[in-house]
Amino acid sequence: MTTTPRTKAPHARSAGAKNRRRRSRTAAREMAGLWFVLPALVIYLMFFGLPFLATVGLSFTDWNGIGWPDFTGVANYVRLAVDGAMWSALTNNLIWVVLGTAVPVIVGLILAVMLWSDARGSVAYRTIFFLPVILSPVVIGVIWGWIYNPLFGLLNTGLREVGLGAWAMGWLGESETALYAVLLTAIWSYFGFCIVVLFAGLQKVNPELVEAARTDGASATQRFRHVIVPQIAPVLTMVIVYTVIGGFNAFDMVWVMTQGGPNNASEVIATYTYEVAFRGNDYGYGATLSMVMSVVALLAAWATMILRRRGA
Amino acid sequence: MRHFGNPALAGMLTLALTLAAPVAWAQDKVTLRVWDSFTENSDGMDAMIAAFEAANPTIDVERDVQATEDMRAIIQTALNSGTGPDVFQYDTGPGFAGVLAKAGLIKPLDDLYAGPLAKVLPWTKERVTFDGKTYGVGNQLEFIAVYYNKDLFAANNIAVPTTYAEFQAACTALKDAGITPIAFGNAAGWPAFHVFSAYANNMVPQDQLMAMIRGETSWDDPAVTSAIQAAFVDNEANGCFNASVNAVSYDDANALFAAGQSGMTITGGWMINGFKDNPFATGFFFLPAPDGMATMPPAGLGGGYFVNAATTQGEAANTFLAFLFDPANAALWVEGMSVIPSYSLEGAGVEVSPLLAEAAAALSAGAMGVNIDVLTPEAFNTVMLDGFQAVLGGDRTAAEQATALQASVAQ
Repeated sequence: MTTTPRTKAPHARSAGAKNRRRRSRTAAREMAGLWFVLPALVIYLMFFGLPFLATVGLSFTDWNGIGWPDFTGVANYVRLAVDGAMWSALTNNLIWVVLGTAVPVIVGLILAVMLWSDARGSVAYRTIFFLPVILSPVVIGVIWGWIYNPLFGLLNTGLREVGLGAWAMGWLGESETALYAVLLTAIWSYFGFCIVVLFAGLQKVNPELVEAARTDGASATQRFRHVIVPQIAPVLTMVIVYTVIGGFNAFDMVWVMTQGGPNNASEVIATYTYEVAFRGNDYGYGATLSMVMSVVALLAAWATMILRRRGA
Repeated sequence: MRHFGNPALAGMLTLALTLAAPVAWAQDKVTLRVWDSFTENSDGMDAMIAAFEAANPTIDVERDVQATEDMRAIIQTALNSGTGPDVFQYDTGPGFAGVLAKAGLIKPLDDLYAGPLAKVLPWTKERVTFDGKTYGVGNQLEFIAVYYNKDLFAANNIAVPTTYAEFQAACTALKDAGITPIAFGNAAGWPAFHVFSAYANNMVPQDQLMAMIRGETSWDDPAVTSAIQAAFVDNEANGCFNASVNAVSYDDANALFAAGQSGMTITGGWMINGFKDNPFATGFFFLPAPDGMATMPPAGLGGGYFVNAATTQGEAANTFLAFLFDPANAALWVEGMSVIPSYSLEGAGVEVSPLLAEAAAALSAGAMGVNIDVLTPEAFNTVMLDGFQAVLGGDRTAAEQATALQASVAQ
């Protein structure tokens, strides 16, 4: 039989007490942190967690907004697979994400580098480029709607004035041009944000490295690609990710300018979901479409993390 | 025994009673929550409510204005969640109010029709009657007509068309004169509903059309195809419309007509107020039917008033409806809002513009057709909206659209 010593040496007791006090203080600090986080956590769960779970649940029902929903299993997900309008909207979203990310980021990067290279009036240009960002998307949509207006719009009037009247058309009313006309407006309203953020990132570029590359005979393109871009990679990644996620959530500009028309030509997932759920009172299927948006957003977030790791 | 012998005590009691009186009065006053969609003539409805409150000092109306689209999007949720209004304005068709009635979300008003609503026109009552019970009060008598610029017609020697051939000839004459024959803006999609209603009522026998609306016969019918073809394909091909109709807004099309840059526009009676100040003489005629068919101008209700089944202010709601549809208050509708209420204006003593007087007379004369989209469910209207845009854009034929309409009914 062995016995466990019931007493410890004085210095061991003292160290144990210190550890206990330290642990107690740490636990108290952690609890305090938890209390600080709790209000935000409750709000998050109430306004995001619970609605998200409710949406998941509704996606398995045929709820029409009235009464109690009936469970329909995976019927909505089967319907999703054969819903041509959904695939068309998703395709439009992909076009939106690709063009709506590539164009403003590339244009923004080029202009940011030009402004960074001690261009005269840099502050004025940055202000001008950033102005559309502070305008409401609704205001922008209405104004560009006037520009595209086939009766009195600036665009068609201008085309006619320069002898290109044959090109004049109802930009927002033709199925071939509606999506791109709205997308151009969105790009115009957004590229200023890219310029300002990338310009801020460029402030951390070491000019000595750029100068050294120039001394070594690197061309402007080589300096840009191999010296500048690697140094702003984290910022560039953040801008791309932010823009991609925004592209999947596109709604306001499309809704104001075309409401997804004509004949769904400019429909994106968010506008289609709204129409199905709130106009068609098909909340069950609307919830299923929301799940599509969530999955796509999760994939975009995952791609972001990969890009971040590579960019870091 | 001395009562209130102390003047100071008597004064304090008097003061206390004086202060308590408004409190007791305020407690008796009830608040009636009303939602309506009078966004354009909101001031007129404010005046109506002010008159109601003056006549009923114990009822305080809390009014919210919701655009029609917003109302359609939120009313079901609001009623279901218990946050809905006591009284609200909504679409009257079976696809709208009929759905709410079936779900038990609105209250039957049959008792009121035996009393204060006795003068409401019977045909408007029918439009809000579902399964034998009357659930609301139809309002805003409307019709779809062809508004025309009398000056342009006279300048180009065009008489008001009485046959469809004459209507087509009028289009050609205006086009040849370099004038846009018909201003049409279909960017929102729904303006095509009205044009389609005007053609379908004239080209599909009325009994058959009503059976289609009830889902008893197929929309995939040669008569429907012909109506779509004539309304959208032929008019577009013949240059009767302005360019790029799918890119022109409804308001811009109206502005085009109001500016004297088009000879005609096809829209509803609600534009009487908007066109009464045109800088030219404005008139309207009903789209003539092709040979062998009867002209059946679409007419209907722009909306109706309904009472939340869960309201706790049933008595105040009844009083409010009785006031709205009391012929003694006709001037508030007609003069204040250019709305034709759902009772006879004969003897109501209201002063109206010549155009509105013409409209009111037209609505009480001859047989009228139906405004299709207010009677059909939203899913059907969505197929109309997208499909007519596709037909106008050349992406779908008239026959394909007729098939799509029937497919939506079957679904």
